[in-house]
Amino acid sequence: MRQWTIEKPERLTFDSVRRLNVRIVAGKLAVLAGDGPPALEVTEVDSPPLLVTHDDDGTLTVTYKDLTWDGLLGWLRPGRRRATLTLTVPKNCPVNVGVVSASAVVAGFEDRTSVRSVSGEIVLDGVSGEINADTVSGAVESRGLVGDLSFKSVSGELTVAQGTPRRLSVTTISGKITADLKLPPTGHVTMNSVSGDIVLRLPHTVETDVKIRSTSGRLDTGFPELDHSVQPGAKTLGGRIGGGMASLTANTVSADVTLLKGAQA
Amino acid sequence: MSPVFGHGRLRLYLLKLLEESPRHGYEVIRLLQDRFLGVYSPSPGTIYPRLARLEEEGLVTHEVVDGKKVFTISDLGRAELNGRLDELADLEQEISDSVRDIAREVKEDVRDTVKSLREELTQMAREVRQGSEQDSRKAWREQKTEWRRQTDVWKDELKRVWADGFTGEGSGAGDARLGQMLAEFVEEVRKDAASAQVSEETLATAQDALYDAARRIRETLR
Repeated sequence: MRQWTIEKPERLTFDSVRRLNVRIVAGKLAVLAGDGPPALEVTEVDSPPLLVTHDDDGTLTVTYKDLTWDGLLGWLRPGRRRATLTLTVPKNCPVNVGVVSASAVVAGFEDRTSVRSVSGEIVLDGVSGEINADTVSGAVESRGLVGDLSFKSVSGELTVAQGTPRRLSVTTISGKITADLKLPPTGHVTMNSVSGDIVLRLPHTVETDVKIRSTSGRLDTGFPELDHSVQPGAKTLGGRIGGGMASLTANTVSADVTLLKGAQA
Repeated sequence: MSPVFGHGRLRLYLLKLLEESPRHGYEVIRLLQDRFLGVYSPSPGTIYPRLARLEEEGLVTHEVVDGKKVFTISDLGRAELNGRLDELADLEQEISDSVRDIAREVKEDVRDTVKSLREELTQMAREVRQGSEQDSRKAWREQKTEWRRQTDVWKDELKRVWADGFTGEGSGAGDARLGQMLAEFVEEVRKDAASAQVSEETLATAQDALYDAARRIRETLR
């Protein structure tokens, strides 16, 4: 095991990284997939210093000494703890990112990617595999997502551009959800929102079963084949588009749901 | 091409890559792509002539392995590399700057995409909602027109019934007209009644007036 204490801007390279854990507080974090030698570049750091550990099994950890997953409150202790860092590691490397108010860019990974944020914004680009994004109030913006995404937020918004989810699970209290999805035949989308409005676009050729329910929200769709029904305490919008197969389920309390039909190409 | 590779820089970087290990030309291209995260991707047409040139100058040698040229740095090449170590450090710095730029570009790019998507979908959602609102408003208007039309049909029907009631076996030519007049009278009274309160008292008064009218009509018909 090797360890470094980073107190000033510095660049480190590593022979092999098989797993990455990064936890920082404020500042900017970029984690990029690359086949070159794994590297960490710190361009800004104040006290306390960052602690970098490279274990023998290839696990690279970048964090502060007293920052652990268990001690979330510890993260909120006063102090600036601003850091700007860029990491490049192999794309098949599982990535675990935690930020408090720092913004994070994560691009190109294909295995397991987990991102947690309190208020920091998260940008995911071309990430596939199994993705977990949990945030309190930070927004998550994703482009070119493939695979499984689980998103949980209190008020953080989620935007998915050009997504091809096999499994997309969204739970939010008041975060707005905007998603433009190509739903594969086995795609499975579940969205639960209390008051965060949902706007969803599916291609006109999509084949899926739809079940959208809301207590008091408004349900609208550009797919005329879906049926509206209103019962006391529950409105539903459901039915089958095309031959069905994929599934789309959404439940809201007061949030509006709009299911849009993509234009014919 | 990225400004990172200014004059002589690509040559220096090629020597550096070959110093790390002997490589195929294709591998060199791939490493350059990776190093720049695909933002800078040199074509074989750029790299192969450069490698050939380095070989001409005696900085690299090649041997053919499995039908592919594998390039190896020579002592001369290593000497040039060592003589330009400062420059190499600068180059590394510039490359990592450019990787940081890439991270920034990725971020800005995604944010732009996401922002325009959000705007587009919000606009589409608004249109769909307005569409369905208009649909329901239109449906309501159509319903009202339909009711109005129905009412008119009934009115006409009623007049016809009255008129018919006065025609028949042994009736005179004026009977139909009298029927029509009565129908119009009924309609008028009904309109008045609709816009006023009808109580027992008004009913009694109306009945008196009707008896009176009936008596007078009967008298004129006699």
